[in-house]
Amino acid sequence: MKLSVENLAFGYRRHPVGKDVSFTLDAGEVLCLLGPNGVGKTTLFKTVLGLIAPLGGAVMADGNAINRWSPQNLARLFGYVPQAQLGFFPFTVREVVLMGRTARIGLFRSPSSRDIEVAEGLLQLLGIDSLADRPYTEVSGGERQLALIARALAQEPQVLVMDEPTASLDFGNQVRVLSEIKTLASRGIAVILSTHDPDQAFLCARRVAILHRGRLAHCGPTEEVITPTVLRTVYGVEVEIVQIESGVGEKHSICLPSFARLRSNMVSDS
Amino acid sequence: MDQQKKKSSRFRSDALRFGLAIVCLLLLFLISFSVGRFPVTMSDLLNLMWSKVTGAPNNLAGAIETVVFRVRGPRVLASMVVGGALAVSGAVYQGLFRNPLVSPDILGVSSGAALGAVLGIYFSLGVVGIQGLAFAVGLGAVAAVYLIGTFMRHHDPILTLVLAGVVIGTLLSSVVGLIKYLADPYNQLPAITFWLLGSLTGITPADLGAILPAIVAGLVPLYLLRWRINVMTLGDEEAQALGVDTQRIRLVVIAAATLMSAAAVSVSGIIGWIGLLIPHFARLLVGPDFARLLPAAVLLGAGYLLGVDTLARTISTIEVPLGVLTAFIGTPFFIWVLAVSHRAWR
Repeated sequence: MKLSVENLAFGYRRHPVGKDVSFTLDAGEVLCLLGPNGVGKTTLFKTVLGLIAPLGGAVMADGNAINRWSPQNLARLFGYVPQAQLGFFPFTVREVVLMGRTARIGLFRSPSSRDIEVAEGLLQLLGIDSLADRPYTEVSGGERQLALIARALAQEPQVLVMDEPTASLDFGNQVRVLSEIKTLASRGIAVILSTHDPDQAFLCARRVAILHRGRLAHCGPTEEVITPTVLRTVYGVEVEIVQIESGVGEKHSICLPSFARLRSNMVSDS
Repeated sequence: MDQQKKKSSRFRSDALRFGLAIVCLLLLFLISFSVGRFPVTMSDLLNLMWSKVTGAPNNLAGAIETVVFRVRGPRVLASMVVGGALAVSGAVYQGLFRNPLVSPDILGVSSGAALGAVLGIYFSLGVVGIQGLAFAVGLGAVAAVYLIGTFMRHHDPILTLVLAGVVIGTLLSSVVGLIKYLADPYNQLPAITFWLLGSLTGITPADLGAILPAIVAGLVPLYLLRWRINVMTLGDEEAQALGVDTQRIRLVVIAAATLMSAAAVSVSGIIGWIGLLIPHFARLLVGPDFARLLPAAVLLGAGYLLGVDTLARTISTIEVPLGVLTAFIGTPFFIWVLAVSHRAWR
């Protein structure tokens, strides 16, 4: 499966958000989307998913434009993890995960025992099986996020689109989700996620795209894209990229913000 | 193993709750036949029903049979059908619009039906004409609201529908006000007022036969689409991302729920509160899954209106309007549900 986004213009008719967005994503690949607050990462995702009509360009799956696909077929291609919201009605965590099976449940049917099996397996995989019977509205924000990831996996998608999947998670769950993303990719699922933390891109993504001022300012291998210069232009802060070696001899890059230089910049700006 | 145990205990507790609701409904059913201006003792009632079922002769006075089957029968059945229909459409609307304060009249069904009925009374049409007009204008009002909603595509579809419903409802209510102002104050105005307050007096088997097909025709697709309706409560975008054809499902679900409430209101007049209150109570009892919520709403709605209607015809020598009683009983009940169901909505 190859997903390619070609010259996508997105946003709303009276309020275009971005244009000329092109990238490709192969099976088993992880692409990390960075960009400042309010730049339109969520809108871009919704456009790729077919929830918002594109203002121009196209999204292709294996060379077929998907803009005419039925919601059911789209839901079998894309699993979507939206930013965690408070639920409305007190469905149990298990029922929320089961909702991920909808595209595989007949129009007039309820989930089958096979659907329930899949949901139970995913609840275990994400370590939330003890919460299965708790109302989704009563569990913590991090647990809701994990339930939403389980729900997206229940779609058995080829492409997983995750909108800030680690935003409301504690450190342990962040690490668990990032490692789960790598596992999923190794099983052949293509993953595209947005995050505010460039370190996470170093940890889990081979490629990074940066959305800045309505365009894909950079798109390429993580080590080449995330540089002090790029982070300065996009976020307006001074960062050093430090190479370290872990105990098992793996090389890693991390971002180290430089407060002193930021402060001196602020003084010179004013 | 553990999982199966959990599942079967869940099943048992649900079965227990439904069983309890059915037993309560049956008791209410028997009580409502026996009380009234012409009391029928429980043993006479059971005798009569037994002989009706088995065909055995009974030695009861003919008046008893007339009261039970001709006078109370249609009314008891109608109250159950109307109550169940209003509760189901309320549950569906609340789910679809993700709003616990929504009731079946949110899209203008009630104000449309009211206008139809009031027009019928004003032009001195017969009962059939009044009910037919109430039904038609009720459906028409919702269709108008839906059309307005589809023309405003760049807004949130749910919000647009609710706002259009409020606006159209207000417009129709002011026309009702105008007709009340013009109506003959001695003959027509009391009839209009009585209809607007809701009543099941004088309901006939023919009325019941007329609304039953419409109500069943609404209930069947709602039950069939139960899982899709569950997913629709996540909101439009999420439901679509999970594979629901939201536009089409929304249209079918609104049409089905509207058909049910328009049919109910066309014979009963405006009875508020049931569609608002009963879904909360049902959700408290069996949870938000529509596979269980729909049957629970049918049972509780049927029982509630049956009880209230029995009160309406027995607590005083004159009929108390249903709309008044449902509000009197519904208000404290709703406050109680609000207090205990902190988790029914966020």
